[in-house]
Amino acid sequence: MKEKGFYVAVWGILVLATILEVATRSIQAAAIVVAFGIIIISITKAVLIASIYQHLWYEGKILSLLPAVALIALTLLLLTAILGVM
Amino acid sequence: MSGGFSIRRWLTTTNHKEIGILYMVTSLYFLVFAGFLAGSMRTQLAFPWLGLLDPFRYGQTVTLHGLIMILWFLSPLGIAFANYFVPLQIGAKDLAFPRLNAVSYWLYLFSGLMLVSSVFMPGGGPDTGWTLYAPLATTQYTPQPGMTVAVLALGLLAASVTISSVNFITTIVWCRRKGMSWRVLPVFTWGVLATVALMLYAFPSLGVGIILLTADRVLGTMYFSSLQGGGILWDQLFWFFGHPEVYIVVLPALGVMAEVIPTFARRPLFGKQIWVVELTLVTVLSIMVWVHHMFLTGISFDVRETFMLTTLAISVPFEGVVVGMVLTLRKASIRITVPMLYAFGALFFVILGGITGVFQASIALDYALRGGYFIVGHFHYVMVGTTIFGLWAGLFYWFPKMTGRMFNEWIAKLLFVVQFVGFNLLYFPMFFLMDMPRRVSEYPLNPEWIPLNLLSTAGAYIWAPAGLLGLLNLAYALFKGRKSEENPWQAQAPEWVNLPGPIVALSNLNGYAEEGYTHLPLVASFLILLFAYGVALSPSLALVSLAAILVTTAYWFRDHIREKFSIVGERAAENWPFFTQSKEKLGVWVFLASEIIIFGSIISSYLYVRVASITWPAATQTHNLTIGTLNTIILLTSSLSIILALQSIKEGNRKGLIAGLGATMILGVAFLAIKLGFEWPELLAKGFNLSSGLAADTYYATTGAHAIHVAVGLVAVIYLLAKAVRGGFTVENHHAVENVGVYWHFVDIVWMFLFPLFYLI
Repeated sequence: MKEKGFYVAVWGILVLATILEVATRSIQAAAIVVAFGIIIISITKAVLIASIYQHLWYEGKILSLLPAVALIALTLLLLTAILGVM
Repeated sequence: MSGGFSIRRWLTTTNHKEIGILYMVTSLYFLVFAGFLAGSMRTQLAFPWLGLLDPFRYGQTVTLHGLIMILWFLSPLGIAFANYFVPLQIGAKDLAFPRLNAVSYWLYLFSGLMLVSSVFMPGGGPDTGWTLYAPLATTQYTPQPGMTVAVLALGLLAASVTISSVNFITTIVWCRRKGMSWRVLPVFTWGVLATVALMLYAFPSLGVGIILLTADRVLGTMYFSSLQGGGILWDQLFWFFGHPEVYIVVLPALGVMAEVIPTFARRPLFGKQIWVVELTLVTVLSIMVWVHHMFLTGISFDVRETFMLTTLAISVPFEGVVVGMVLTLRKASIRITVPMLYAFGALFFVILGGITGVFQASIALDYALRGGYFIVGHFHYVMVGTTIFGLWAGLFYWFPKMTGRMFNEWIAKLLFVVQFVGFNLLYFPMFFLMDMPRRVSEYPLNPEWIPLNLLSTAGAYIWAPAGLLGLLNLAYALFKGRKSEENPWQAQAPEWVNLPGPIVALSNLNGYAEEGYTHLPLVASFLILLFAYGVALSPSLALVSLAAILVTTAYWFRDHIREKFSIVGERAAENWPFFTQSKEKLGVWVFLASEIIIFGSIISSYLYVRVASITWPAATQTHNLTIGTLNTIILLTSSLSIILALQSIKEGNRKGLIAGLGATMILGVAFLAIKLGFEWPELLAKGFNLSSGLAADTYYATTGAHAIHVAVGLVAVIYLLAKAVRGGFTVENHHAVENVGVYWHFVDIVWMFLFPLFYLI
């Protein structure tokens, strides 16, 4: 039961983060700052799901290597594509 | 079903050796087909005034030749050897997922046949070159349906390759016999591991290019026909796959050479551990150099300069790989056998091809060389010379092991010499044709070019028949050759030492039970082929075949529920560092790595066109934030319900499992119903449709791809539910719930990014 309670608590945090994300949109600040804030919240939510629900936190770091390599390759592709047209 | 020849057996096999043979025979068929196309091209270029091939037919011939040689011959021949010998080298019973291995093969075969069929469509097939450059490949410039068919054929191949990659990585990482540690892993298996790792990370970006190009051609989106996306977006997606593909083709051949050269030099591979490190560095760097194919585009100079440096950098570890093999020969007592001759030939070609490639790293030189025959000569030395001679070394090296018979060595040596001479005669003159434009059927009758072209064509007419005769020599030996000794080369590799005697696929199933035969991979792959044809040509065919695919999936799951293919007592002996994971879970994570690239590339394409656009409609103007937020919370809740289902069965609570899975299913259906049944119709009614611009195109393509993933996840959840209701899960046996959950959470994570990108920013 202890684990189930923990999972429900994580779900609560994720829902709250979603509400915070929506609220961040209304902040009176430069668009880039707001966008940055929203993306940071999204990344936090993704990391939380991967770590807790997908069990990456408990599986050992080596399994994280597979998605990590993909994310690094992807970042390279995205940065190259965007910087190429700027 | 064991023993003797049976067509049914070959159609239903999941045995790695038999599938290896199927790959080998099929790839050689495609070699002959694409070789015939090459012969037509060379004949046209030798006598352009005869008009043997008009410009359109020449364009189609160039395109099919390039696509088939690279993707349906060179790479699959390496995979054929990998299928046959990797399990033997590492001491595995078979690949980790034998039925998926069969699916890989059938998708590969069908995709190749589909590509060839594109030529027979009204208006002909693709004539864009193997790179399918946009906007040339869009309907504006290539309206013929054959082009769409060819694009979807590539999609099927990408699916086949991804499944293969997951299978081989899981096999090599998880299924090694006791004592087969990473330090003693044979070099050919290292080469295959590097290859499939590259396949895993490189092919998804091609897959995304294909998905978006298909959307452009079939649905009317404008990713590649708009100024904001266009050719550069295609270039980024294509070459992110395309350059690693060079290494995907070459690395298995280097692995074979690293087995053959030490065997016949009678010395271990020089600095094996360092050689492996260098191979790894080549693999990593090969996904960091793709922009050198885009030096002639108008992208930022800083980006081009950065990639010039990475391109130069990769030559350092690559030279290390080559030098390691050369130094193995130093002071060695070399036996000149047929495999060794081919390995020598490949070594010569990789050095010459490598040296001529260094020039391409320079932006300035690339401007001069990119459009001419110098580069044709360069990449044929690397991809054809190195790979074919390297893999031919493997063909002759392992032939006695595969068949128990020996070929005629004298004839094989003679044919090697003819092939070597013919190859150089064919491609070396191209280095002097650097000003002659490539991909055109006619050229100015420059007096210097005509003799060089004649020489090159003469080389083709020597090299190709010699290669064919070499294959006939093997075919003859298969039936009439003398019996081979058990280890005729006195090789030390595990497949020779640990498994004495010939391993004849026709009479030795090596492990897997006869129940391993199933028609489902063939049927499922054929239906996927029909679905692809349907997408290209007929929506009703697509719908019917999709329904049939779902029925086949149900049969597949039925076998799973009955545990028809489970292997009793299977456990990993050497699986460091994945001690705690099951092979299925490792397979899911490997697959998710490719999925990350898929979604990442789709999202990158969206960000690219958005950054390149001067204006973009505000999220609040188009999208309903309340619906977006509601769907986000629904997906988050479904993640909670599936993790609670898993926790329930871990605690032995079957009712909790069923309740959790049921809730997940309902929430998944609710997500799709809100999106497809309410949100999309509302947007379409507002005029936000596929002809209203890139904002709509990117929204429907990206969230549509996500919705398909949710639907696939739902199918998997329904399977879990069906098995759970039958009591198929216990405290000890619940891995399928965990694995489907990992996938479901991934789909949830993707939405965590789509929601802000489309509804908030």
